[in-house]
Amino acid sequence: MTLLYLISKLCGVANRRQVTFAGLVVLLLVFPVLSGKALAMDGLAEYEVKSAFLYNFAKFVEWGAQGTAGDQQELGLCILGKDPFGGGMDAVKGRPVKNRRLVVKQINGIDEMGQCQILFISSSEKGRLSEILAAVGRSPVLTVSDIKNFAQTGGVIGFVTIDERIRFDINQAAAERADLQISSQLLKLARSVVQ
Amino acid sequence: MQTMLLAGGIVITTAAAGWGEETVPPNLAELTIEELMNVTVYGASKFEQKLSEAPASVTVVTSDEIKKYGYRTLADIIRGQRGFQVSYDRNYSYVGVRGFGRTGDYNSRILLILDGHRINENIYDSISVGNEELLDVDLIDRVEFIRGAGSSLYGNNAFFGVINIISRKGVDFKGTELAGSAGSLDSYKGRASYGDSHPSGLAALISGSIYDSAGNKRLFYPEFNDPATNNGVAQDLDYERSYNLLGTFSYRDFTLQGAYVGREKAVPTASFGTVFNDPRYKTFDYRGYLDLKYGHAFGSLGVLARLFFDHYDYYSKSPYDLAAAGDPPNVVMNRDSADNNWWGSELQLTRTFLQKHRVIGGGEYQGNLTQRQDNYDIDPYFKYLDTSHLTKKWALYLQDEYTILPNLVLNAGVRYDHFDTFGAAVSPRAALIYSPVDKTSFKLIYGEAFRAPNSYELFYDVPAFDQKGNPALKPEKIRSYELVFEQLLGDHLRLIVNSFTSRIDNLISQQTDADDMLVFRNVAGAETTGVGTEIEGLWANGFKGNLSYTYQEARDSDTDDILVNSPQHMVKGRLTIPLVADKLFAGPELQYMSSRKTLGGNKLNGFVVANLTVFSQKLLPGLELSGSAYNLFDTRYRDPGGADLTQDSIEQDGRTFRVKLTYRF
Repeated sequence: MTLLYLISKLCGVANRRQVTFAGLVVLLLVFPVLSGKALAMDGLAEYEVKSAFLYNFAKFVEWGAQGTAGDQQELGLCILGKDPFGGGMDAVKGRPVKNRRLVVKQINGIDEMGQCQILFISSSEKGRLSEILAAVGRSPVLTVSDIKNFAQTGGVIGFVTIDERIRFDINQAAAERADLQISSQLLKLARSVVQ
Repeated sequence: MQTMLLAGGIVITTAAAGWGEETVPPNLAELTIEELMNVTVYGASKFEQKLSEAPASVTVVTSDEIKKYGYRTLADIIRGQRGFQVSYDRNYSYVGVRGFGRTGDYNSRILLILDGHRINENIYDSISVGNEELLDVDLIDRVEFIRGAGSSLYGNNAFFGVINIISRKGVDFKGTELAGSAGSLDSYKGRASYGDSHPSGLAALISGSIYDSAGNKRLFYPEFNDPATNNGVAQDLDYERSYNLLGTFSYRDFTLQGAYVGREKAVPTASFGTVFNDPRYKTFDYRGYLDLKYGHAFGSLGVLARLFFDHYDYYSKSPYDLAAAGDPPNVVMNRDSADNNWWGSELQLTRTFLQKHRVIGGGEYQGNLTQRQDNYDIDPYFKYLDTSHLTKKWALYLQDEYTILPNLVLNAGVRYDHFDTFGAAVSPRAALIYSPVDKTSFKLIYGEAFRAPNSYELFYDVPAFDQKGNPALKPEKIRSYELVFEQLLGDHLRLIVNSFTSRIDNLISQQTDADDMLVFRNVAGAETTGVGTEIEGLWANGFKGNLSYTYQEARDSDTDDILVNSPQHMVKGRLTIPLVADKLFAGPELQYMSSRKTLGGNKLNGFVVANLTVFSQKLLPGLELSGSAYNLFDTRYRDPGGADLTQDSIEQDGRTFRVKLTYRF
């Protein structure tokens, strides 16, 4: 209530209505603070947002029979290379998707890709991208990366940042190679669809 | 039901949750893709960065707030910002910050940037924040207020701070948007915008706005209360007309932007010793630019290049009575103008070394093509001044963001500016940013900045007006220490405390020489010390608020007196109150400013101004409707006037209203 006191003191020149209004404003402002109901502020870290995109992608992609073989409880989201997400994956880890649980793991090589339905290729792997995509080949994996021109070079979904907002390109041909069905809703939202 | 709100970033909330109910913490994972696509991940210090990591105290106003608080101009936005003040003399608006709002100065100690393009023009180095400002505020995506000395990165004019505007782009429109508003004082504004983006990477936005206000029919100035001067009443002399154009086209790595504004304003105050209540007294301002930008990442090397052409043209038509005292009036129209064109280019490289050093380096060049000041009587024709001094400047800068420890960052930079008028200016800045725990950050900042003497101060030389130029002027210099404390409280409430102390030397002030001529000299100094505290919050049901308090003391170094137009206390509060979830919002705003001294040595009382906007969206698809009351309680208050005015202070508008409709399809 010190704020209220401060305001009313400062408003010594103001009339009663103004003080009342000021008091009301302060009360409205302070009350929710005290009751601890604050919510988000501040700019969001790029990779927190990207992790939420990845989780969403899983909802809009259908894997072929081969892709959903293996562990029926888990949907693997693998990060290949240096993990840029930090704690950013915490919000999506373990979340349900397609009646499975989203499992996030960091892998260091394409040979560890066994249980990965989604493969996020970190920009640290930029130099080896063509080898990685060749190794993934026709595996039933949704490849995603923010390496420039990812979708154009044969990845399935490439993030692009435009005007500080995150957009994505989709490579339809790459999706078909991996036996992935991408929903038309997602295709519609893509910045560009590579055929 | 999930709802998303934007506030400097993003907020998610369960809109249905009432006051007493439990709310979930915001979780990005619960957003839809469409919502995620609206989240901004933005930057403050020329490259992408979180606010808490910027080497300054930064606050952000978003397009969402511009709508919900009914902001009409950039001046309206600035008034709500911690530590900022705006005064108006019924012709131009003047921005004060950190207690420095000296009357008679133009807005040259703030740098305004629009989409990376420098807006301060090249004669007075000023920015416009009223209806003569370049960008219709409806087209603003976000405004960043970066406080403190910023010359180490931005050069001239980044003296007390930088206002960085990012405009809305084609991708934000995806169609046509029409807006119309009508308000008190016969004020009308219309806008048509079209924007779209194509999967090929092509995006475009074109927009045009037009504004017309009759203003106050009668303005009474007791200083002119004489039958010879219409008993002090300025009749139909407050009208204003302006138009804005904006085009932004981008294709892959290239962006071409053009912006233009024209404004005509009648001047009711008889400033600069003109004839009172003469309808011919008007000022005209035109500002525009074309800017071609290229941005590309070559591996880990970010490259940004820019080539631009700028235009600024001002003129006034002023009636002067040349008759000797006692003789019948002999009114002659005088035209004063500044006609300016310049071009420039910029190259900036960004690269991270050893994962610990984020280095940004660059260079800028600006060459002035026309830099002409001109003054003459129209009939009978008599030339007082016609001066063209083409100046140019270049600069190099380097900044390193060194991550010493994961929670300790040293941000150090220096910029070398070279002006062919006075020589070199070197501006260093060092900031230590320490985050002992996740939600806390401390910033200790030392920075130096400068303001170059402008062409008006250097070259406006009219002996007939008892004014001479001073080509020997040096830049003004500020040395500034700041401490910023930022704390996320609870989950996502943000508290900022920002204390500062600055010393300003070589302030350029107008003096009267022994020969009775007015001249600008580097004679004054000032010290400004203060503390600002701000709390920003967003609540589960869509509630949003911001409250700030600033205490500041800006004193003249010689006399130790508080400066003119320098309030010691300012309190600002604003709230967004959702009345019907996601559809109807009330936006009350409250601004208090304590008393200010005038040039005439008078004291203007402190005052409180309240504004209220009710904003609705989604009642019908694509439709937004708002109603605003400005100065809701009809507070009578005055702003200090400059030396050009007979009036020591100028009364401001009482209660006014506006309704606005925006339709998107």
